[in-house]
Amino acid sequence: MTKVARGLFRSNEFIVIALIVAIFLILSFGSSTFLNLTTFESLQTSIAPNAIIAAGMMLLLISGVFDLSVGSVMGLAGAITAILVAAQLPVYLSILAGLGIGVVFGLFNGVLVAYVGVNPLITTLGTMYIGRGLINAFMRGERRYGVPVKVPDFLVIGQGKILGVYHIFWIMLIIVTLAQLITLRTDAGRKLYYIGSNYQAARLVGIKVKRIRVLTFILCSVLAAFTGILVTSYFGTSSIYLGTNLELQIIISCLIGGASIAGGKGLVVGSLLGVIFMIMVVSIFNILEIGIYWQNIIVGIILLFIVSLDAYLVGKRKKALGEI
Amino acid sequence: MQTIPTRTRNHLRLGEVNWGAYSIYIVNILAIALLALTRKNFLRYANLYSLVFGLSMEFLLVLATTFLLIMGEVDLSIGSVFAFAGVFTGYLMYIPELPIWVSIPITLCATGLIGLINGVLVVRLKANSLMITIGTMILFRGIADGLINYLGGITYADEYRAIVGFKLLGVNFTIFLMLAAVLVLEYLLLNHAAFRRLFYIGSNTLSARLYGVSVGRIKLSVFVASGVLAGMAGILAASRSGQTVWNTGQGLEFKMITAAILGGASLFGGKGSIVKSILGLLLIAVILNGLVMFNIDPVWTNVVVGVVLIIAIFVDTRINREKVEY
Repeated sequence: MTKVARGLFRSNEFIVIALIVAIFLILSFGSSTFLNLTTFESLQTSIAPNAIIAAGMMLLLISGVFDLSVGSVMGLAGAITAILVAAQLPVYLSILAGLGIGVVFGLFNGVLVAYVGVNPLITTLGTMYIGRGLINAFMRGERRYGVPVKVPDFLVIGQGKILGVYHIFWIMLIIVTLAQLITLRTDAGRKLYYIGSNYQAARLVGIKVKRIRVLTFILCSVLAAFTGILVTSYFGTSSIYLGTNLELQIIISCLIGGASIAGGKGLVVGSLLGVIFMIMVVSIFNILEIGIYWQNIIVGIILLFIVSLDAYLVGKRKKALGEI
Repeated sequence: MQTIPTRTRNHLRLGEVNWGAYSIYIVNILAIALLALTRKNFLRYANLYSLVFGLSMEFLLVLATTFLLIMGEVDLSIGSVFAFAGVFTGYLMYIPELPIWVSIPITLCATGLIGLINGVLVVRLKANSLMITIGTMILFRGIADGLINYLGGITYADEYRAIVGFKLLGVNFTIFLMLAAVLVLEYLLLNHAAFRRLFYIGSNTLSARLYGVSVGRIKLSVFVASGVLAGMAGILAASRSGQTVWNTGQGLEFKMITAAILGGASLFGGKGSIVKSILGLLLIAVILNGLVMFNIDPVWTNVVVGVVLIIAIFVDTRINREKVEY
């Protein structure tokens, strides 16, 4: 076997693809209801939102940080946009307002982490609570049960299809492809890997680490806000629960797809594969009609396993480099 | 090099006092004074008692958080363990019908085991304690939800619910427990060699190890203690409310970290005080009480806690800035 082929088989992405195929086969043969058109439609709309957010999260993870506020930003952007559209504001203005939420949250996170030096976990946790609190504050009274939107111009974004595939899915493919090309083919993308592998060294060779960090946070938040708008449009209503507990699922997907908490590695394509894997795992639960709490148990175990494995591998790498 | 707090017998003049160290006292007094002056209901005995009683339900969690923060570690699973302990004790008394004096020790062993899992993964694999304990947080939230679902909303047995009602001299025993624990632990933390080592580990793990401190074993035991303390707090809280629901204990871990950091602990380790952490918890309780007093919609609670957390961490990072850069 050639070196390239061996490297390919041992890469994270290949293992995930193998797992996805395995789950797919099990579901196809094990369940009579899995292989039909509705399943593929629902897979499109469950994979696409998570994959868009995961693409942004992957860029953060490559550069060595992460963002726990994406779920709240997604929910808040969806809620604000739905409220504005329902209030007869022009659709494009409402969407801009929703995306603005993403810019504000990303800027806030980025400045606190890069310029003030606050721990990214705590920063984004704080903004997660603030965002969730704001959702509850905006969606009071009647709105608690959702803000239905009936403007066709808005609904077409999420519910329309091209060639039988939802717009959301096409948008996801474009975003993932662009993000992948940016990370591999441009200077800015490669700088993310430098920053993630060694922050101080990257700063010393003249990379504008702080500015890049803030921009990455803004990009991730804007993608999350955009996803919130897309999903709200797809459902035709906003919900106070939109994006709840999403952040960890996204981070776990990225870690499965080859990222490391320590930073410096991962591919955007990997995050897409990780998302598909997680969605497949969840669909096993749905098809077998197992209670939702089992999902938490399995997700927790997967996270513990992945983080332990990651720490073990990082430790081994450091030992090999003589850093311990 | 940061200074590690010790009890000093020197009498300082007013100008030499480090006011930063007393800021949590001052802010507490200001907040209480503000509420006392503007809201006449605040100083009523019933309100103050319920404030302190609520504090005595949660103080065990802030003890665990403070000890871990002093060593530079974090346990985010305490909220889930809190819920798990409450519902697991209820389960043991309901299905196998074990007596309470068997159920509670079994539960505490189980929660200690959770702490052990956290500790082993953090110490042996040098994994990030934030991520590991997020894993156990989700895992035990799932298990707690499973048990809650299984029990189907029963109210716990009478002897279980009676624990928290036990009173000494007309005052709930948890308040005495809190006072005793705080005084003893604060004394030990400032004077006892074993507890001083927590500060050494937090300030500089490598040099602590070079001086012969068994870092791994100490971290492991504190993680186990964190699990057990969260379990005790969970049992008390479940005994008070009579049942455990799906969001019991959610977000408690962040409230505790906020409280400890308000009380001068740092995410970078090496700092922290039990008395001040409790005062941090008191400050949050007073703020939330103030929101109720001013008739502010409870939906803003999360926003307020988030803002307080960010401000506390902001200040912490400004003070300890030179140590880490992200």
